[in-house]
Amino acid sequence: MDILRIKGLKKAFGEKAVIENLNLEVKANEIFGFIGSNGAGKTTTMKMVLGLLAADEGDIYVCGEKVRFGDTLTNRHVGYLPDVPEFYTYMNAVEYLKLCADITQVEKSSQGERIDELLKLVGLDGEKTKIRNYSRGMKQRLGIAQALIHRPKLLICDEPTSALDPKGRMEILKILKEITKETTVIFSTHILSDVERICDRVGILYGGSIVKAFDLNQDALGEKGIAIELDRAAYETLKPLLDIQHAEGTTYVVANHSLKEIYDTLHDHEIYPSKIIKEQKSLEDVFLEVTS
Amino acid sequence: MRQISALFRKELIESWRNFKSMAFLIVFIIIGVLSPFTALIMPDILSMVMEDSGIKADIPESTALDSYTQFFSNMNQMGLAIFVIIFGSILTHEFSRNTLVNLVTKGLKRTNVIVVKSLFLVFLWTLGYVISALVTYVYTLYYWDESANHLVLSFAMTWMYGLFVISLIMLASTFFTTSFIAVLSSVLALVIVMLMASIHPDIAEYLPQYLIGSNIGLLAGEIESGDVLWSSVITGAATLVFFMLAILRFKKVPMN
Repeated sequence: MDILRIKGLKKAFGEKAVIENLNLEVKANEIFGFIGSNGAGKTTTMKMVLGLLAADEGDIYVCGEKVRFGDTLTNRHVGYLPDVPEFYTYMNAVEYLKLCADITQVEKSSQGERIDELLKLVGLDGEKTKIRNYSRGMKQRLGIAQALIHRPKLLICDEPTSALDPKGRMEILKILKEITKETTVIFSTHILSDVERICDRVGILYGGSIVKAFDLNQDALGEKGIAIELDRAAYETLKPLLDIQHAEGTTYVVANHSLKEIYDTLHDHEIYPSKIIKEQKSLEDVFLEVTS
Repeated sequence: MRQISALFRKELIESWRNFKSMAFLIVFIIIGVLSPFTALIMPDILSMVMEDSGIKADIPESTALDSYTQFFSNMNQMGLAIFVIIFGSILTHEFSRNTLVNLVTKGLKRTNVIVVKSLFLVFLWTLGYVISALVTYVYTLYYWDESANHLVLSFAMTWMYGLFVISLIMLASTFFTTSFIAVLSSVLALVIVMLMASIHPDIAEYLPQYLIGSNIGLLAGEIESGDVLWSSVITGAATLVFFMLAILRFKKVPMN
């Protein structure tokens, strides 16, 4: 069963359509990268999944149950980490997590153990100060702890690393990677290197819908072309013969030709390149390709 | 039920740690102490002022009724205004700081948010008001040792009006997410009702404001308890309707 299923979702703010016929399925125990440019509608989609915003059209199912705006029933399956989580800053971490545990009906007898376990996971164990004194990174880590307090089946992270320094980002990514044994993660971001680092599957949101969804491995990303390192004279010779798409220094990328065709052309013109490499597309290449 | 008790505990901790409940209780105790004291010293102050101005007049001794007049005058204006200023943002500040999002996305029922916030305000208003009224009552008894007609009903009328104001604030807070506008719109609504009473005096005794305008008349025996029946019923009904509307409206408030 899909943990999250979205069918024909539409949302407009006034005249401006933000989400148009969005369809998406997320399977259990994967980290799904939900990527798109700023303003693409990632947060709007997440908020509709959480029942915080009303959809104009379409259906959302979490763990097979339909999400209804204003009703929080399906949220018992979900944990949510916003980009900038806000807390009751007069509390300390344990007090806040205790409040969250009570709200999510975690058994009283197991609350202490669960809170200790989570604080250890996010590196806030032994932290007694009030949340008002926390750094941004500490707040983000507490945000993960609060989102996981009730062992949700689905964790929705809305740009959790965008406001953090590199060290803070690495810490959050490491924690997210660790929790997938029991939780499916939707990782919404525009930082593609973070997605490449931890995600199993990716969906690209563009023009209000998912324009491409794929497993994040080299085969799925596809081949960018064949990079050949040549001198200028050899390049001039090959230019009319091969589809040379772009050049970086003395390295030229040839597309739309098989390796055999390229070898034959080089051989026929007695050109001997110093390097030939099969280049794979990066996530950034794919993203730019489908969004341009 | 666990959600309600957890959220209520959170409200208690919050109002204690940000000193709001302490400040509120201190002000209400001061109102309780000052009302009989002001009534007690008022004749002396007046005679001193008149002597200084060269006016000769017999100032009658103050009575228990003067003490209660001071109390209701202070409580119906200053007391209620202070309560609204301190606690009027109980829901809207959660919107402006986005602190409810973490809890609602965990399955906290929106109905429980309104129920708890309303219960908490009712609890604080009742606590502060009862303490203040008791302090005034005890001091009045100590200084004058006089009884008054319908004293409990008279106290209850202002308390009930307070509940009406709380329900109005809760409802306004679900329409306007900034504290200032929510409080302002509640005050505006009260002013409009007062204007209605001035334009059509024949409907005045059916309006909530009649409750806080009749405390002294009831104590002085100018009106009977039956005269405030309709305004009490209408105020009670309006309070319940506003609470229900706040719950219904809050279910449909988008959270960004």
